[in-house]
Amino acid sequence: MDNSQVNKLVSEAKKGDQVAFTQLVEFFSERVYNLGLRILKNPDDAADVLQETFLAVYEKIDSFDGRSNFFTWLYRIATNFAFMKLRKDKRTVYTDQDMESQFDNPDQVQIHEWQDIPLQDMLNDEFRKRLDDAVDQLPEIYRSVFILRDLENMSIKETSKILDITESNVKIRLKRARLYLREQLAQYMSEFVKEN
Amino acid sequence: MEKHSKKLIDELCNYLGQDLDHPMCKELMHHVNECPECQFYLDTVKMTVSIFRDTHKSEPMPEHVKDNLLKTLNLKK
Repeated sequence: MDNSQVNKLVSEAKKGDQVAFTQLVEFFSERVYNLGLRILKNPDDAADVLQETFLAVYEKIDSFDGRSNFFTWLYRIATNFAFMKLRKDKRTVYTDQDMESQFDNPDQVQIHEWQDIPLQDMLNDEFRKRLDDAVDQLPEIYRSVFILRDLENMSIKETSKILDITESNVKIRLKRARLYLREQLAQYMSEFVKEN
Repeated sequence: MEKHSKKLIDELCNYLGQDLDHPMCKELMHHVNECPECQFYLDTVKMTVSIFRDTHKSEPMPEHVKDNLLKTLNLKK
């Protein structure tokens, strides 16, 4: 479905066309569900975010003025709900200041030749858990940018609109997130090389 | 990367916050291509993103989740 088709459905949904709204739900729900899953890592929580998001969209679609893309608007609502839930569950405890110290000396970990490490041998549950833990340790401002830009494949411009921050801020936060995750990965790879 | 100037590292770090295949700075990329240390640094960041993408792929949404959503919204399939 291209943008003009989405806009047409949005326009019809605003007039109360339930079939049009159903088509929007059918088209976007899986992406919203996966966004929730990436942020919260729990299928039940992702389903809750999906419901809250579309309930809000249903109630607020009249106020959607079309200045932004519908998808951007929808994703902004979903991202806010997901991070609100994360904060409510007190799963995010790291602060920006905690992150600063991680960058004082970014090359503490010896980085082996990654090409020489058989990645297929590493792709087990423990490895995935370590990756999840690394993302969990990112403060929200970095995690949101990393998830939207690198996992959801949004452009820098789209990410800035969804999070309502400047493109420069997206780039700075993305850089920090990527370098932090690289260090965490390097640490794990270093342990893997020693053990094998 | 001790042998590199702070300016160069800052530029490389700025690049690392861009789209990784975007040719932001020809001079910098020329240097990166000539410098194994910088190339390795850049490659490992690209690899990090790639590994995270591969391990966080989209999952199909369970049918009951969509059914519940439509029911909550009082919509028909």
